[in-house]
Amino acid sequence: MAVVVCAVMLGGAARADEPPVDVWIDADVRSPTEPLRDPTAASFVLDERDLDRPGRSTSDALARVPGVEVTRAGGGADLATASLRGATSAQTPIHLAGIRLNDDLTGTADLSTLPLWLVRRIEIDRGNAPASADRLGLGGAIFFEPIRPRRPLARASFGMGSFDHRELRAAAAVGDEHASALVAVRHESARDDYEFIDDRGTRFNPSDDVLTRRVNADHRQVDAWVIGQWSAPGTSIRALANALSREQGAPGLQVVPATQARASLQRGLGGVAGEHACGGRGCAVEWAVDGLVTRYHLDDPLRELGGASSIDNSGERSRQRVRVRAQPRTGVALSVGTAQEVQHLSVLQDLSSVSARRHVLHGDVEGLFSVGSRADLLAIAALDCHSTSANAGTEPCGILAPSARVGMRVRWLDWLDVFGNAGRYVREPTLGELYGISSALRGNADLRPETGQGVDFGVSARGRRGQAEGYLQVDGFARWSDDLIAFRRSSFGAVRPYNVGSARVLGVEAAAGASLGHWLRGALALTWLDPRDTSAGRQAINDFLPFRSRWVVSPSLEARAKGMRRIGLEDVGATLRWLYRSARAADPAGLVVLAELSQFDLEFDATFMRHAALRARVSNLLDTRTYDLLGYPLPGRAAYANVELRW
Amino acid sequence: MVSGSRIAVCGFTLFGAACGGFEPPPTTGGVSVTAGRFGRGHALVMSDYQSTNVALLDCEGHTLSPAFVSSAAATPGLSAPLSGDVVLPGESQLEAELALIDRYPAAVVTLVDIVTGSVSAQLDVSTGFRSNPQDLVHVGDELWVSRYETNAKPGKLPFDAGGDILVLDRRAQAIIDRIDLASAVADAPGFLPRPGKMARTDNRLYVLLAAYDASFQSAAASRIVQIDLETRQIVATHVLSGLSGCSALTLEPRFDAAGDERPMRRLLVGCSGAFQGSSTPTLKDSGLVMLATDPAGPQELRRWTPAELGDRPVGFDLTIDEGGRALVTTMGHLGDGVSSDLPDALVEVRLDAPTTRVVFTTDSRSFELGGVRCTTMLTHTESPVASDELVPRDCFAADGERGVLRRLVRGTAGYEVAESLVVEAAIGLPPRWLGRF
Repeated sequence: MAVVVCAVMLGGAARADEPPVDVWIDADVRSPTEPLRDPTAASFVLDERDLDRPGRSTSDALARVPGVEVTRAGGGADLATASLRGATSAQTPIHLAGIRLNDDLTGTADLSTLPLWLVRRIEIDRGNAPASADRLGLGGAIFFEPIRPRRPLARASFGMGSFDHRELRAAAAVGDEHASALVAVRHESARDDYEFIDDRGTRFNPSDDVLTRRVNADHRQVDAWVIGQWSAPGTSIRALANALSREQGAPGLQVVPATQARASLQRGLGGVAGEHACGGRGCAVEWAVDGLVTRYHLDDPLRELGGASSIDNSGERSRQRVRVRAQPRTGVALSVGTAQEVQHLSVLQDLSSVSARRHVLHGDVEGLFSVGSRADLLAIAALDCHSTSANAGTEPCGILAPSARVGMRVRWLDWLDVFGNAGRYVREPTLGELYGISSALRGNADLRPETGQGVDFGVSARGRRGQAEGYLQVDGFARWSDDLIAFRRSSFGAVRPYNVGSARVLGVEAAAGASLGHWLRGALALTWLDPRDTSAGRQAINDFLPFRSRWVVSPSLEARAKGMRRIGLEDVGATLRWLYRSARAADPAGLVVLAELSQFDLEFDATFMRHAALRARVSNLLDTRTYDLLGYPLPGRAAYANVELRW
Repeated sequence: MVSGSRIAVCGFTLFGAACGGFEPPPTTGGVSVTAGRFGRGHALVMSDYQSTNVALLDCEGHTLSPAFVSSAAATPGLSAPLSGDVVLPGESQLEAELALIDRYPAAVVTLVDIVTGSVSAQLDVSTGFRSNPQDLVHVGDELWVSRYETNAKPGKLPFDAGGDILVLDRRAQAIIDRIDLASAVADAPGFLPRPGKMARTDNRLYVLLAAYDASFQSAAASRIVQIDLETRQIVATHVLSGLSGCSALTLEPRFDAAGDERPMRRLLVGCSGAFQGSSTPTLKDSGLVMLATDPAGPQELRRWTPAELGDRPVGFDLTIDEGGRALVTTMGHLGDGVSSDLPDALVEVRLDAPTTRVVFTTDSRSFELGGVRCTTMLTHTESPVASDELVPRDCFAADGERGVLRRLVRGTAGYEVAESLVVEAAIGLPPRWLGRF
């Protein structure tokens, strides 16, 4: 309360002619279905209004996007993954500030390491990624774009919530439109000791079920950002660095939780990128140098997790890329890009170790052809040459991965677009899949890249009448994937990957929204999926792929009101969100069926005197007990609030 | 416009809610089979190591209930009703309930009524850690469960030390005692007992200890512990010098081919060799050993080297028919990126003759050959049923790669594959483990 009072007092001292507080982010309010990077892709954009909510995790935000399915292993610091259009999380590249976060161990990116607080928007390109992405992705790609400071600003925020959640964050920026820099730091901690029903592994015997709390689930983390930009006519340079350090418990399966196992994660990423005009005809040269370093340590002294007592994983990736853009004639935009990437992975488990290296040469060509003002045709071709090695010699271009796409978008009417794409994509095996991680998780150097051919077709409409606005995007897609990498497990637990899988995924996605002035905003995301395992030699009769729901529906309704200036309240709003996800199998045979999920979240925010904001959120309003994975209960009802001061 | 949106939202969500169900295949329930001298038949665990289905078959391999109980038999919550790591006890189960052992990490014993197919009891044998139960024998009204893991930090719950035989009262559904096996590896500091398969004679229980260390990087010589069923005391420990990673154990059938009760039943132990933290065991420590069940302690009678068993390490299961022939699973290995996988092989071993022969191999993959059992006479005391005279003394082997149960009949040269049985066609999980019931 003292913080709120302080905020109001500070706000009251502000001059009335100060600029609005939100100009430091891109305030361009667009339809979330308007593509930003790729004119023909089925895109969806989450902007800051959807992201920076107390206690809201990245997986919470993405779960409400059409075509996205998230899988969470617990609280805010536990593993969470996202996949697009029925693909796997390894087939879904996730980029932060243009740097791909998917590791080379399992190929997945952990959403829990992606904070939302300095993210200005998340772009989800379903099915088709733009050429500027270093991997086109079988299911598409997700891009997290951090904010770009444009004027001197300062922010400080304090938040707290259920399960002893605490958050402190501060950010300061200097500069203007042409040159600016931002430094930000955040500390977050939580016990995440939420209650769950422990069935003690005896599902047939409910009499021994007990309500208990998670143990050893706490975490604390610090993440820091430095972002800078400089621009002059014809030239711009951006630089970014982010460091994340986390220490947490590793309880594992909650049926028999690990009480002593602890894990730590350090991640650093940074990059410099520039763009320079190179004469007429729209010529521009883009370049970037970036790197990613991760360190993970697990200490399990009692071997409660059933594996090694100590695990140390480290990975480094560096990349240089350059792209030349030109418009040789009106209506024709061409770009040619090339990149070089070096990656190293090291895994040390007790006495065994694996060290592997990857060198990638990438080249791509993109052409965008505009036919009049109503049609865009896009063609992309990319070729990746992967040379990998583990201890022994490198096989040059052992993995050659071509991918290509053609797409089109036609403005059929002023308010109606038609778009479609057809492409071929690849997902190269990770170093972990090629060379193994441990004696139990063996590698297979003969693995081929996973391949997928996909088509999609959709319509996108928007309209405005008076103060009412609306948008609608509906698309359908089909994807056929081959050479999917699947692990065969032996009876004593050792597994080895093989190119044995194939799949066919059909789906329909819809995103709709409407707003009435400043006061009312509604949105709906819907996904229907029919993912089928078409592997030759499949023994299981069930062919519906596990961990995919046939239906995901997520409507939301936001109401806002201009506040009462007499008490300093400028703006107040409340949002109710519902997420429904139908039942899904947790095993290939379809015997273990996870119950459907129905979850309501309620959010509230208020702005006081331009310089203070109060936000509150109740997640899982009805306190439903849910699981994304067997053995990993998700939190019940939880409440969070934060207060932010802005100058 | 607004009302239209509302209608659309309601329509979408109602449609989604109505059509979102994912229905697993139903179970097919229990069976009413009169137990004859050969028992009632065979139970088969089918699993892809992620979920499990259990089928019941008669003595000839005909399916009685294709999905007697499965991972779909109850709604999952924190855990699945049956995980993907379920095995059957090694001992024939002539009781009214079929016991299933959910090993790791669940550590649960599930008792299923054979007639109704409903679960009559589930017993948590974890005692607060992932105890990894391996085998179960019925001793009167008690269930004795071997627990592979040793608790690194015991003392929080009663009977939570692990590395033991846990004694449960079936009626009270409670743990009443434990038999600590740590003393059996006292001569090998740093190694844990790791008890696995068990076999019982009239008043003795034989427990096979793998004696790995905590990290599975090294193993001491495996050993057999003999326990007095009355006193629950270890009466003898026999160290299998030169053999490690022993995990297969069976007792010779009580009756010979003529139906006469044997004066002494021999034990057969299979050793894979130590895995040393890898997925390929050390062949030099592998082998097969036959022992006499002397009341004073097991006495070694004979050994077979891997060279006599097709140069493969012994697998996780073996059985002996009424005529003194053993069927032994042997393991192939995963390819190394240059070589392809070496398939598993089922080897026939004459216990009283020098001959061994490969009965069949899996098509191409390793670690796919699961359990093996023969139809043998189990008792004289039960009233014979008319069909007893017609029961063929066939054997069965679970071939996970083909997804079939191989029926083996004795020909002139030995056992041959007579047919491949598809036990169940609605779920399609590969067969893994066999048990008698």
